[in-house]
Amino acid sequence: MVFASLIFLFLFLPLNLFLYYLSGNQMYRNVLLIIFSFFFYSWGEPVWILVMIFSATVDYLNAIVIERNRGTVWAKAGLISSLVVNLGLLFLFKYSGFFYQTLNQWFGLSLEVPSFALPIGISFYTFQTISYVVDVYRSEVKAQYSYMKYFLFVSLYHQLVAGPIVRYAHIAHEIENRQTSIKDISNGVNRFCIGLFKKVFFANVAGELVKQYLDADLTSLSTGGAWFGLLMFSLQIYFDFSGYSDMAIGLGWMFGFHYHENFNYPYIAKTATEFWRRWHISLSTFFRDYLYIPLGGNQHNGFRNLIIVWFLTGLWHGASWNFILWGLYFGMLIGLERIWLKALLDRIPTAFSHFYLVLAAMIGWAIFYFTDLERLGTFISVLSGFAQQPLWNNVVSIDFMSHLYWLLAALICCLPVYHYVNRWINERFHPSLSGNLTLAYTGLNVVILLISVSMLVGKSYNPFLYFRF
Amino acid sequence: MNLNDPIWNKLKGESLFLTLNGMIFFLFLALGGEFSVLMPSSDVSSLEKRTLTPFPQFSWDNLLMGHYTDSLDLHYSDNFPFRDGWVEWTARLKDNFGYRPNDLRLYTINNEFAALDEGLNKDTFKVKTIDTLKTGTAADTTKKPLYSPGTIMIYNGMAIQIFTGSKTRAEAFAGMVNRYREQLHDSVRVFCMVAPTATDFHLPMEEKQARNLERPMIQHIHEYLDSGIQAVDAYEEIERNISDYLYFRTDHHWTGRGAYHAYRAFCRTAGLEPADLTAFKRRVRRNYLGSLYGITKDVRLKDHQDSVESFRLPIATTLYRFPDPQLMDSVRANLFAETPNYTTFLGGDYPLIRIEADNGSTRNALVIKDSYGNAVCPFLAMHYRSVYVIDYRTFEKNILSFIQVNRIHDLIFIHNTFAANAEFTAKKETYLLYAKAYRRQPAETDTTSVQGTEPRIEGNRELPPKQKP
Repeated sequence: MVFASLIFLFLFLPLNLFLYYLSGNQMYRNVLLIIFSFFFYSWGEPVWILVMIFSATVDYLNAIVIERNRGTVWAKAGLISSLVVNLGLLFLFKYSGFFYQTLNQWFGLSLEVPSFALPIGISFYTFQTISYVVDVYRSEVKAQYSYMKYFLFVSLYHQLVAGPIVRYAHIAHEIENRQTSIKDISNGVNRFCIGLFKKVFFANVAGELVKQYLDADLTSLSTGGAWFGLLMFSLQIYFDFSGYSDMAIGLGWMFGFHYHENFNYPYIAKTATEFWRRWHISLSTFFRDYLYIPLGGNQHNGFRNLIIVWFLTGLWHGASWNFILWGLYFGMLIGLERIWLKALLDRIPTAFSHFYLVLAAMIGWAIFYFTDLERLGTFISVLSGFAQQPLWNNVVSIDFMSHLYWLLAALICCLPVYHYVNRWINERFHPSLSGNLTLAYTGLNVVILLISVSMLVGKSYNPFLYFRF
Repeated sequence: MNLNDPIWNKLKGESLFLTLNGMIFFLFLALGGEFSVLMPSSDVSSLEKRTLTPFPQFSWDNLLMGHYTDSLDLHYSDNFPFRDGWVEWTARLKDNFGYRPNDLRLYTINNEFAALDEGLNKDTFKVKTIDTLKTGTAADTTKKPLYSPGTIMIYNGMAIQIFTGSKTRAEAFAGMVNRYREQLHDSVRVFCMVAPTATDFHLPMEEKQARNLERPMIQHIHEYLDSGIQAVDAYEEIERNISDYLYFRTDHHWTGRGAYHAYRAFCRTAGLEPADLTAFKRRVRRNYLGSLYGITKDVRLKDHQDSVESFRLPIATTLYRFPDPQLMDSVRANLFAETPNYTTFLGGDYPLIRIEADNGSTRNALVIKDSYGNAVCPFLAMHYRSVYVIDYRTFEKNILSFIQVNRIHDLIFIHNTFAANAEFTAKKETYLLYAKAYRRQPAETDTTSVQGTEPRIEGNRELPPKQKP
């Protein structure tokens, strides 16, 4: 199931909220959330839910083994077994096809390429349980002995399928004993509505244009069209992903969980280094804490570590060379920034450094988008204007103009406007008016909820187009 | 009212508004959900001209494959309360996403137009002969299309499909017609009419310069036709009268009046005296919103509704439809159906239609057509005793034997430029040259509803390449 679907919004969520607040019993609430999470996951993945349960169970047991045998070789064995099982599953389901294909290509072999359907969310939940086992190993958290409570952490549908990658330590006490305040619920509602709106109003519309420009015959694309398509993809991926995180965080608040932020207006960054501190924060901190620093950080073999981390960051995003290229591209930018680029960027006017980052991020998205490297090459040549193709054409003008207001709204929403407005109101007005402010949010929620629902229904509009009636 | 009054402050204390915020969100979803479940579901959408997804049948197989939940999702969104209203509202919203110079807008329909290409019964006509299709030799020198196939432009309140032809495909089409000529006896006259759509005549000037036009493509086809084929220049006749109401604004067809001018062009080519338009009884049905409105839901189109003009013949006619591709069963009907849309002409598309006319002629014609032919055929009934109308998309029998058995004098191809540029058309019609001859059904299974309506196709023999009519 996905959040931005009518069945989730109108059946699943209200039913879940209703039953949840029927009783204050923590046990009841936890079990209820697990049941709903199961249902949520198996809606889209009725078979591979077993993989999730298997992976979770292995880590549950290993954490206990580690906790009981601290300092012994068994603790180490527990850790290693967790890593092997999780990464093994990830390899099997996500990378084995790619691996065999590459072997075949490099060595001219004809090994049979396995093809598994990628279980939904596997990249997220394996990382989540790895972080749990490692944290237990490092004695940063206590192992959870209750399988039920542990499983709630893994399976919670808010973040199970698309992040954020929640660390056990962040919600350990909330699993045991969480308080839900009306303020949290209200904030959660606001946050969820905003996330839904970002997904439906911005990401989906941008996605239609992306399809139109980047999936088409690239040899008939103009340079302007290529940039327009790329801009649309940059907007789509940001609003899609951050919208999803907003919804997850908002849902968490509604049920008394507080997940960490996953996005912090990445496009206002001035360097690639800063971009990655603002983009998919739960992933970059995962790699920082569980890979980069253990490897020695920037103290020992800093550049080797950088390459490893960014190779793997790229690979995490998908089993294809372009993702690896994309990861290394950012690794390279960050490396360059560390040597001299950052010093330069600090010295020039900020407008230029913003421009640098937006450009760098967009080129990055081009690498990210085209899994076919040949198409990527063609696209880059069109983008740079070196291909023998027109610089501009009328279709781009029409599409650009007919999405102008929407585009302006999208660009503004990439900036921390909401944040500023909130702060401005809080500073400017007397706290006694905060009730009115809530009322204003309620109004905003109703409007964006109506728009989102309407566009979700509109998306299902699917006329029968074979020309016979 | 004093805002600092403590009672007022308490009443509008923050928690009241926060609760309100949460409750409004919850009630909106919960009540909407309840309503959606209680609303009766319907089977068909008249707006989208398709059957809505029914409530899926449960089976374990379906569930495990994930099909069951997919269908439930579709069923739910297809039957969402007030769906049509939401859809229309979304269209209006999207219409305001930007500024539209010259009132021009584009819609891209992904893949659906390709249906015309891929066509029905994909598997039924895979025969060897397709490979031997004469496709012409000239390289494809066509300008690269600036629009992906399936682009619809709205201009001046009229929806226009953007034509993206290719010379290779046009040559394949001409090659197919040539093949008919080769296989038929010289006494059968072959006419080829490529019907222009609105695209050349109604697009804005600057657009015309930028893209493929239909006229050169039609001329290209004419050049490739064998000398034994008489090309009907409908384009020129229509162009001369383009200020008349010859194309629908909201539908992809020409009007009855447009078809009349094509008929005049045919008469000129065939040496017939065309009937004057005043000889017919004019009938008009208003408030027609056609296929292109159905696809785009564009608001401007709704403000420019069409009317369907038909010209009733002054002579007695009878029409027999064969709705089943096996031609087992026929239904007697009127030349014009009393429907308020394009299906008024011949009652729509059927594998085979036979028109009997009381005009003293002894000649028979066979029209092989797409839906553009429907509006022309009534006029042809002025000049032939029998007009057989084959829709190549659904007809499955051998056309050569059909021509022989039914003593056809004139074979007339009527295809719009899109169909003439579709790979499917050339392939399917080539297939029909080699398809199995019609095997007459035993009398008792012949469920003929009206006497004398069974097709006079006989035998199941291999026909010699040259036949005598």
